[in-house]
Amino acid sequence: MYPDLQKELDTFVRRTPKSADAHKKNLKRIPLGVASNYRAYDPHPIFVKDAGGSKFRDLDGNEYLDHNLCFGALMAGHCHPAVMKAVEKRLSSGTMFGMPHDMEWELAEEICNRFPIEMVRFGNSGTEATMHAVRLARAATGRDKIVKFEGGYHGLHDSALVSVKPHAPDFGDIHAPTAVPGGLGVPKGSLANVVVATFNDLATVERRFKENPGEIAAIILEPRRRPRYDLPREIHRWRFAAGSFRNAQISDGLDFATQSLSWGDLQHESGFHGCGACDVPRCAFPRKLHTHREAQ
Amino acid sequence: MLSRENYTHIEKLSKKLTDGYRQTVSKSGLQAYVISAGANGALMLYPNEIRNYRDWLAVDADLWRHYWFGMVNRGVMPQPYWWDEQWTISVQHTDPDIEKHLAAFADVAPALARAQQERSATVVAH
Repeated sequence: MYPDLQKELDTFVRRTPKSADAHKKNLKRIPLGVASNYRAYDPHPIFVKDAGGSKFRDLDGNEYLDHNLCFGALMAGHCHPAVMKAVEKRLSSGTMFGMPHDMEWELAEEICNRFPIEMVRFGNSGTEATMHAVRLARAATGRDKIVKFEGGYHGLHDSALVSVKPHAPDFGDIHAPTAVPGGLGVPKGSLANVVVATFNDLATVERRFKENPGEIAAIILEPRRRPRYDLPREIHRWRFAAGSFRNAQISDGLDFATQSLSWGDLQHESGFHGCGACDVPRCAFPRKLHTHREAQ
Repeated sequence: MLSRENYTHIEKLSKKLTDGYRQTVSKSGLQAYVISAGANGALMLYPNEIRNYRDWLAVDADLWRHYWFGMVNRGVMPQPYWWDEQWTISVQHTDPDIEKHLAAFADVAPALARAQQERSATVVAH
């Protein structure tokens, strides 16, 4: 480790002793001391005390400008007055019923007005949303396989936890990436039903369709692989790609569309469709959508 | 809440943040680029455009940790931990918030540039 990095780490440790203590305590009862593996890092994660607006405070009282925002889910920021008002109103009249409630219709209607989709199934997490989307594609097509892109994260279910962050030599040839389990416990049967392509390389997708004629139910991707692998100026390329996927499916006799997910609501009020990055009809939205109706 | 007006507000802040990052990157001599899309964006500590997962594996993780902990120590959580994540701007962020973020980056960037040059020189020497 080089000196300037060590200096910043030393400062971090000095500023956050209560987070270190809380992490040690958590490790006794919670794997990695955190509620999700992605929240774990060395020397210890920051433990939050409270938050409001665009900021949060840690257990040691340090204040931070927050651009984590729950991995992007909190586009409304913390404790937005409209959200507070809506939640407080509901707390006194019940929040969980295990039965239908007419507010479901209100939210479904809002989502369908914003995005070019006709029906909505709600879930509790991104994992659940993409799991349902993949199952729906399989049910509609009678096919088992899906195409996903190496490095793509679509949740933690068996069909998604494949080639998320694989390493050499496991990941094989870049033109035909090997499906690598994202952790122990992913069944071999699930791996066999996920074929992997390389992002920004349409030839690898076409190759997968040729290799698996009549077997692919869906393609799962983020139209922009987060900002990390894509650029806004490439929107047109992805529009082309989406069209090409459709052509590939049509040539394969697949009339059920591909699908995908994700943080489109962070890009545009009508998601990826609205900013022209996507023209496919089945989407999973793992984010919480806070709409203007909350303020009503 | 996620109204057209609020998306416009976020787009304005996003432009201010990415423009400010680009100026600091240029001024500091850091070999990096900045990308953004809507409420999201990221500093890519790599001289070339990342096109896929295997390109991304070449990013210097220690340099990124230097950036992340440096920003956190200056009161800015620039993005979730891990170098494949990105920042999010909320409807409650303000112009002064973005200015604070940029000031922290301007403070960290010279050390990052220096470390990057030294590490590149070491790689070349080996």
